[in-house]
Amino acid sequence: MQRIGAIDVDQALEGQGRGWRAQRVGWVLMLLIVLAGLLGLAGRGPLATATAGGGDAALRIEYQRFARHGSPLRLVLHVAPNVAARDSTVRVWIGRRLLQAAEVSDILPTPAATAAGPDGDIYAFRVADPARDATIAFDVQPQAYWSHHASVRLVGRPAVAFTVFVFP
Amino acid sequence: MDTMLRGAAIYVFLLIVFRVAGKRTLTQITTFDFVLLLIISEAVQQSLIATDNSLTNAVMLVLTLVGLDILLSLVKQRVPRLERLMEGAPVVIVEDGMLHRDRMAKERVDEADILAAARERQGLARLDQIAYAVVERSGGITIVPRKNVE
Repeated sequence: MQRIGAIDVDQALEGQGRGWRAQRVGWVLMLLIVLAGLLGLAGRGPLATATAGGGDAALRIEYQRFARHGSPLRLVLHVAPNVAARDSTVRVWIGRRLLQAAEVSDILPTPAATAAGPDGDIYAFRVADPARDATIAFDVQPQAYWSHHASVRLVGRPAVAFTVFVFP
Repeated sequence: MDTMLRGAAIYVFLLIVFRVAGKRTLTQITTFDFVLLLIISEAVQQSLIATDNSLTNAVMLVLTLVGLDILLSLVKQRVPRLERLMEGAPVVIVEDGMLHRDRMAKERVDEADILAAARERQGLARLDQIAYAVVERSGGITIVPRKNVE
């Protein structure tokens, strides 16, 4: 115990100076984390939104690079014109890894048929006009942490792969 | 198991954030500080409980949090350096009637705060009646009146 003037107090000023400096560094770090969050590095922001596939491919997927555990994440599938089968049906194959890492909570529009497969499930959608493009949305809730590779394709066409980082 | 990890993660996170924020940050000195504390508890609550509202979950969580607190207090007792690191140390801001303005600035305390503490706890009316004032680890200001040290 130290005596300062007339009182006993455990002041430890030399350590205090270091503490105050560490505090200032901590404030800056907190500010940087908040700014990163605003930009979308923690999910839901301009830097989080990404697109996979596209170009002249039949399938383009809008997704979020950064997602949060248990928090809704929307995958928007853009199907190019003239890729639907003769019966106006688009068949989407979703890889098992994605289905295991996330729970599908909603699909818009509702698929006309679903089929379970060994390494993924197939969802069949009726399209209004096969000559025009179609949009399909999958609402999923990530159930596993960290980085996840996902693979989605239209049946008979090359797969579109993307990676989502899931924060705890 | 998930509950325990969540509890431990939140415990450590809050420990760091409140330490970095400084001891004067949420001392419940104003109504707003108190409201802010309630909002923080509400924000954290959701991620602690997640979707499991069972009694077992609550019991596990409380045991984890209280257990961590006991464990840390035991470690702190044996390692004083750690205690200082986690809780800071008291800072003397008025010494023999003289204000340490540099320390007051660092601790974000002004004369009005010292006078308020002096009125509230000691019934003192003026600055010259204060011999010592200390910002304690809790963030509160304690006052030693001049009449007590003479």
